[in-house]
Amino acid sequence: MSPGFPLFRLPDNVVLSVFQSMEVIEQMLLSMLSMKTKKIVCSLNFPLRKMSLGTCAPCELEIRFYSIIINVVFEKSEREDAETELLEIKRPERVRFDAGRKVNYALESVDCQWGNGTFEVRDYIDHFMEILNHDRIDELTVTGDDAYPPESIQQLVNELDIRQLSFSDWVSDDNVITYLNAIKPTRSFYLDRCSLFDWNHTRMSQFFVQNLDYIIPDEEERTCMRRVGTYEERTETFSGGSYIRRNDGTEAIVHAEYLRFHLILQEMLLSMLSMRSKKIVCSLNLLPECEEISLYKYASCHLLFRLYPFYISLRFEKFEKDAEREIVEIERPERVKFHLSRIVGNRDESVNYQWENGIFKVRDYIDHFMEILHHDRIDQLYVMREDAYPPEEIQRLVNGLEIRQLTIYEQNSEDDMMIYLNAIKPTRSFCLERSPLFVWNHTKMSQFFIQNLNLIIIGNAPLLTLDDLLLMNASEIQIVTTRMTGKDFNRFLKHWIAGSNPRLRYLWIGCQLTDDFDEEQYERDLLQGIDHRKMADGEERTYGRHMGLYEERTETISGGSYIRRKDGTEAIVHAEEIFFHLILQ
Amino acid sequence: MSCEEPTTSPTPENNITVVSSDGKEFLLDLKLTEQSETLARLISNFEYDRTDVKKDPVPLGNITSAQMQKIIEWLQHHRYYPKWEQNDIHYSTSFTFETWVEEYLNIPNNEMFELLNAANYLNIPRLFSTICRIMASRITGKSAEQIRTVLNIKTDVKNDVYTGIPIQEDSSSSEDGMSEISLSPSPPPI
Repeated sequence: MSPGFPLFRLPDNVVLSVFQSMEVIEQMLLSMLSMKTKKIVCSLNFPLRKMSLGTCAPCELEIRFYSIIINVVFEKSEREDAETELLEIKRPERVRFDAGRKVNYALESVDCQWGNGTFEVRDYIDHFMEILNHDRIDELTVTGDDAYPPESIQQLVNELDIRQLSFSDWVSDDNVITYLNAIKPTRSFYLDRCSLFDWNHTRMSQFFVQNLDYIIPDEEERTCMRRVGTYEERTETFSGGSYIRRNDGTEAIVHAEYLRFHLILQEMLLSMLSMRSKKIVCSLNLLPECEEISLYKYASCHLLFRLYPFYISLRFEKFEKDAEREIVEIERPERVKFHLSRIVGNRDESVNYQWENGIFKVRDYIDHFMEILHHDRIDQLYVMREDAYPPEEIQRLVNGLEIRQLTIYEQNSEDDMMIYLNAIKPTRSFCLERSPLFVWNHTKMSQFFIQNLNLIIIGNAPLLTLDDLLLMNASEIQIVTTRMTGKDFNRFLKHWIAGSNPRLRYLWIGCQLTDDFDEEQYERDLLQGIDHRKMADGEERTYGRHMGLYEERTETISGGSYIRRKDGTEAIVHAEEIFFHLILQ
Repeated sequence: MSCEEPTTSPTPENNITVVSSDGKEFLLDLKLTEQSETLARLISNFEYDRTDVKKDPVPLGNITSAQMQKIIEWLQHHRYYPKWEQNDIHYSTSFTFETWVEEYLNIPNNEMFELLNAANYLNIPRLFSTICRIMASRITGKSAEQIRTVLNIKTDVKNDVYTGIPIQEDSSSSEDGMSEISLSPSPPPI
């Protein structure tokens, strides 16, 4: 076997050059072989960018250079007992080097691993900090992993300068407070969520009053530097905004659009921390344009806010443990997930947060957000499925609230549908995916039709009769399928001419499609005995119709006939395949 | 990267003579000497590139004839290569080498050691860097023990990082394992 290359027989400058010719990962490995190699590697002056420590099992040290990222992974023992878990963060059994580097402008990965001897994780951290001449940990990320108790982490980084402390995933409220007390970052901290129920002003204020510098404004007009992580700064440009000046002469640009995306979440979270913070957020009145608050009842309950151009969704998650607790779900969720998104150009920008729920009930959340958003109603209530929550539960949830639109999907049983219709009275419109078949009778349904609603939408209504239609005192009616015929609609038009359905502005209704359906005959039946005037060829008229609760769409019609009510009101009647339109100008 | 190697025989006007430590003379084309910063500086200082200047043989007391032969082989092969430039520090060159280079450097460690010394003495950056990267490639992905074997490094810390076993002082500077190497005299620092 050829003897090894006698590296240290070379002149010192050549040895140094040999080291310099190697890649960072080889240099790192060499640094651990002897004191001499360590000294040489120390003298290389690495262009280090960032050193981060993640305590998610397995503990990991990330060393980031310009062209290479090295992850030193301290692996746990394969013996799966509790004793070795703690050992892991102290003295790993195996250490793995994973490196990704740019080679000839392409990415190449290198990895190697070795069994550890007496070195503890802290020894490795100290070692790398020394050879890289780096006097700090730039970012420490703690997670909800149970492998390392906070005390163990605290011991691991004791007396080190931690620039940024980040919490990710699930760290219990108590642990967040413990970490915040134990590890004092010198630049910034990042809470994935605020600890809600351990919160009180006295406990948290000490962490906020530190002189941290998370945001650095830039002096350039219409561009600003925004921190992304501890050091990385992103230059972002924006247009618009207003200049404001503080008493000391400091000038700043206030740009609501730019700030809103980043502030909305904080505002909403802050509003839940204490009565005082809630009052402050209320008074900010930064969210005056809340267009819509919708409540969805799927298997889990969702609260959706629409504040153009943002969509914010709160999802109240059910217990996974047993069916008995399902009812509790809608009352007091275990977890609340928060999703904020907006469309920027062609892409969707979003952030997600979640937290464990304490004593807040779903209704508390609804009331809370209605209050801070200065929104006095639920715009839409969607009832999707029947199994998770009984109708009484939903009724209790929205009791006393103004519901603008009630939408009931067809998965609901007919009995439940009737209960919902009886229990929840929408003030503007209701939308049924289908009308009940077997519980239907004129008396039962008429009470729902007779309300002075703006909009009634029904998908499939096979038992709907002319009498029902005449009772609908809404300004807009859209019904996809009925068993009514052209003759029925003719009778309806005659009633309308005589003065029925005085609020009606737009009717769109489908007739029964039979095998011998004749479109021409249908049109003739429709206008039989009614004084009408055909629209001229090429003549077009526009009209507005609702698409949803608030949105109105302008559409064009041609080829219909004009009819006139006794009071002189003119309307257009138009048959299009099986559908019949009655449009008031 | 490879280049055509047109054969040109050195003439007295465009060459110099170098003398190895064991007294053997080599006729070197001036074009080849451009790759060695040491020789290029010497030729420039003595104006040996002028035809009217008498060219004395250049003694290379640190280079043996075997090393010089090997060096000339390298210089000939890279005669028409572009001037050597240091890589972008943010990007690495790959650990893959030309077949010719791999064959050229497929030599025992003692010869590699001498060649690296010679490349350092003559300051031939392309050759120096290539040998360094060959050395680096030999330890890539290796365990600590393997690296120690490849580079003949003995640890000098009280407890080995990898095994925890107390170990002796670094003896890599001793002559152990070096007896079969026929070293040229230690080069002076440049």
